[in-house]
Amino acid sequence: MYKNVKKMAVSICIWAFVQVFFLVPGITCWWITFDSSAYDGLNDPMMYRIAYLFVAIISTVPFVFFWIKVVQLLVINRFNTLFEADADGFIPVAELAKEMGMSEAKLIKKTNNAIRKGYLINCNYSASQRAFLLSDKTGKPETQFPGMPANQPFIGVSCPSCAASLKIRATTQGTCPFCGRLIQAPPAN
Amino acid sequence: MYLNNSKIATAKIVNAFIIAACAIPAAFNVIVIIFMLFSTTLDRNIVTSIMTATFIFWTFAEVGVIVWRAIVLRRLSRCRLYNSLLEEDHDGIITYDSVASMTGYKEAAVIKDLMWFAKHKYLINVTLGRTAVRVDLLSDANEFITVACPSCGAHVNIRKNGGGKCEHCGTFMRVKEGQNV
Repeated sequence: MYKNVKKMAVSICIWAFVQVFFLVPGITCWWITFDSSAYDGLNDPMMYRIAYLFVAIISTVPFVFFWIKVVQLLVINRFNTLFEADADGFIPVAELAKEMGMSEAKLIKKTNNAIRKGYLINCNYSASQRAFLLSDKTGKPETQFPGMPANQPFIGVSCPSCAASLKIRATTQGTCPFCGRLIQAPPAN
Repeated sequence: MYLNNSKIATAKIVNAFIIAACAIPAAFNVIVIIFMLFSTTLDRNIVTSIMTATFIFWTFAEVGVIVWRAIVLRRLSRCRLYNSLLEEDHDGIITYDSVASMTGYKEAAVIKDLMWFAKHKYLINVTLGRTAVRVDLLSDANEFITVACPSCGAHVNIRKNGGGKCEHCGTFMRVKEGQNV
């Protein structure tokens, strides 16, 4: 598991609460801003209109941020799916960018941001290798779920053909990068 | 874990509180400034001009504080990035240049960041070299274990809950019970 589900849930709940809190005054202010009859009898209609417009814009910001956050978390969810499907723990940026359909620079920016904020865990970006390195950690037993990669840690195996030392996720299939032989990884224990 | 989570959480809450405490009066100030600039009924004299200038000054000051605390929060978030790298290290020693090459930051910036995080206790269980470009990782939890490489027999330090590659032959290994040498 490479996404921090708890942190993602807390984050989305906070933003949902904030945007709901600002939603009613925001809608009201937008309505008043463009309702000419609301300014009848006032000495400075333009001044009130600008003030309402300002409050309306401020109240709309959390709503926009909330949806930006939703999109960001969906992208992180996609990263998690791709990371979990990886066999050797080494994912070149070019490969991931192609899978995600975005430029490499944008991908690096998004993943670095997600790692810095703690949404993506157990992985690192290596600028020198231009690749993502997945963690060797097995994870705590209480966080492991049957069938999830937490129970499929990376293990060391020797290629039966060329005897190369390889790192592969337990109980998965991979290919030896040296001789191309298909390798069936044994269980972790 | 090299991250002092409680301290980071406290710093985040304090910064968020400061930002909110500045943002609310700043928004109020903007409304007052709009009133002072666009009102046709307001009697404009030297006093109202000074008041407008004062409100504008305070608004800029509050925006400045918000930007300052946002920069601090952004710097704090880099702590998690360093923690993630330190946790993945296999032998307990990680050089500044390897951190720099991993993160893509300049080495001087990495040293400055790590010094700042260690000084303010955001990173714990970390000892920074004073002149040598090394970071010694001393974990309380007896996290590291010395094992014999199953391929070449070399003694290698690896993490108990992780794994590691033999520096000599490149074999990837995990810890098993009673494997400590």
